[in-house]
Amino acid sequence: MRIFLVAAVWVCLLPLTARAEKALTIDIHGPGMSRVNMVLAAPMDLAGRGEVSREPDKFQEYLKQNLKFLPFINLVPGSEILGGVVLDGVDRDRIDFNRFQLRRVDLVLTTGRLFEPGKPTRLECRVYEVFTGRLLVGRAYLGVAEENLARVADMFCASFMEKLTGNGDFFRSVLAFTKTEGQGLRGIWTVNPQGRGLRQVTFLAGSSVSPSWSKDGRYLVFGHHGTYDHTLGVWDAEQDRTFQVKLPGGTIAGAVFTPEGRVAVALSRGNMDIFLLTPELLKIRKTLVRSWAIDVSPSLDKSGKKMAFVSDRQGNPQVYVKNLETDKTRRVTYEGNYNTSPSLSPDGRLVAFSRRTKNGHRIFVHNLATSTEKQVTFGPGNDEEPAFAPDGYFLAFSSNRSGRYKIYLTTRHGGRVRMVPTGKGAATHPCFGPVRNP
Amino acid sequence: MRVLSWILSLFLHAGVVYAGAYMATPKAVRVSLDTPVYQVDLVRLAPAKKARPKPKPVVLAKPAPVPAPAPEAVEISPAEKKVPEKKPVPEKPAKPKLDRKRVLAEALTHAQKDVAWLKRMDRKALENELSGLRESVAEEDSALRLPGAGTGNATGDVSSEDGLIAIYAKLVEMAVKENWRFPRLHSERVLVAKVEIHVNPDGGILDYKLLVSSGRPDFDASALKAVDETKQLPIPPRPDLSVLRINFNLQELE
Repeated sequence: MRIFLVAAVWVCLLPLTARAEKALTIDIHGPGMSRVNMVLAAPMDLAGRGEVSREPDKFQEYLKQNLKFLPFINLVPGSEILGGVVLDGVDRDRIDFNRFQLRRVDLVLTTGRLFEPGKPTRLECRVYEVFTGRLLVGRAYLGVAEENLARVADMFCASFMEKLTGNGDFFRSVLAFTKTEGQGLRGIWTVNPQGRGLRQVTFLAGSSVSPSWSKDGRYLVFGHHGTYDHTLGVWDAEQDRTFQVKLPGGTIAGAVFTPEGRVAVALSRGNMDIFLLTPELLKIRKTLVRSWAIDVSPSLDKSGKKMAFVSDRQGNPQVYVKNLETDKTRRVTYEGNYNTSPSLSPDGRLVAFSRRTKNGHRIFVHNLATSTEKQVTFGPGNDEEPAFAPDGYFLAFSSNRSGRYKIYLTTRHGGRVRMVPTGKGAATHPCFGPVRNP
Repeated sequence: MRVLSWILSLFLHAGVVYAGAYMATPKAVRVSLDTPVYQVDLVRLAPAKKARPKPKPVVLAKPAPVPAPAPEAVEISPAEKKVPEKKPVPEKPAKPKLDRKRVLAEALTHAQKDVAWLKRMDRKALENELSGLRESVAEEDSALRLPGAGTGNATGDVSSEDGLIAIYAKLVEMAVKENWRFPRLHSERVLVAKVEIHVNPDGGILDYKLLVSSGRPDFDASALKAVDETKQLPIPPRPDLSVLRINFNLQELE
């Protein structure tokens, strides 16, 4: 009887306790800090001999170089971590995440190497979330040697960026650009976006301009301005050979590979228009853009269905986009009277271009869906020739902000600008392509 | 049997009390910080930007002017000019003679009719003006009661307590957002994680849990971590305000 009475009283009081609690719902839009804190732990010996070396580790240096290109990563020095960055092991169970949490570190990167006599070296690399201790990304590489350390670092950073953003192609890409080597001499060079693997690939007399990669990264097509004529040049990365083709026309003002491996070229045949060439590059297969005015600088999206180009059909150079399926052409730029060098993003949603402003040329990004524009570079000097990376996030462009034209990187949202080391000589006409796996 | 009836009675009473308390419990306050909070001085209501509909001017009923008939284009040849025949004029009935009393009575009746008519028109004009004012006030009220605009209660009044809650929500947002780190990738993907926080009357975070996952573990972890690092929130404006539910949206408001 007493038990029932107590239960009844409790049931009666229950609503009163429930009533005392009041809830407030709050919406937060966008993180307060767009950069996450990351620490690189000291490299470990996986055979259980502890830390590999206190000397600067070359693999970690490559990792740091790569991670500094990501605007959303803030590398925290190991010296700021209470107790240092030497771990007991690379596994989650052997990492004390609390001391990283004290410094508000979000991600910890661990590396471990396994040296066994007579066996290829194994390198393991992991990134953990400090708060949950969850493994974000982990990769193991076999046969790691001094000469491929940078490549391994690129591969791991590509996996890491893919995990964070959904696309890691930036670290799987290579830049082609032109570099002036002397009076009237301009050749095509390649380099990876981090500035490693700088290499000259064409050695033709005259000027080689406007390089463009094939989808698989095997071929590089470019215009060549010789002393007597203009030709179309193609560099074969597999055979390391360059060949030239005389096209049925005069001046070449831009060439680009289609996804199917054909070449679209801006060619003067009485008037400067854009044509699709036959597979052997000798004849014109189809006219893509024709008008009474000058049409130059073709740029295709990944699907090859949209093409951006420059035309002065309405009085001054403006950017247009043509849907090659429907043959409908749309004018993109209305502001300014000199908009050139369009680059379509791989998904075909954005067009980056160079606009002449009162302070010099600047890079703008136009959203085709919303018809809105955003200025992403601010000089000084001239910022020209933008090129989208395969991930559609990074943008390369040439700028003379340091006095001489060099290649720089930014993102489609602007922000921090980093120079790509290209050595001596003016560097222009950047173009992203995929890394060709050996 | 008697015991059983006692128990049954107790449970029935408990159920009635519980239902009453549940009905009386106010629903959770939801504050959207997307739109600003407005405070309106109802005494000196600022003139709305939108022009109020002017009351229709009172127009005396005038006989509508009959438009003159459009002249028909008729060919007139001078040879066929006809002289219109004179119509016979009907004889006018002889006017009855008016005496002084009758004239006065008629004048009085007319004057009374005129006064009544003027009164009716005045009342109509006043009604028109009032209805115009009511419409414009209703428009302003509805503008103030847009979704998320303020924390007005059901009757549209803006109480000072609701204002305090809105300010408190903003302070909480600032405190938590400061500790929320996640790569701003400007992606098209919409990620939202909902975290429930229990606070004590001093604003200290007692515990928290993930109510709704975004579907991406690292995003959920970033939201929980932001709460964990915040630790202390501003003192709630009401001691009974002990539960906060925060929606962490990846997308910024444009």
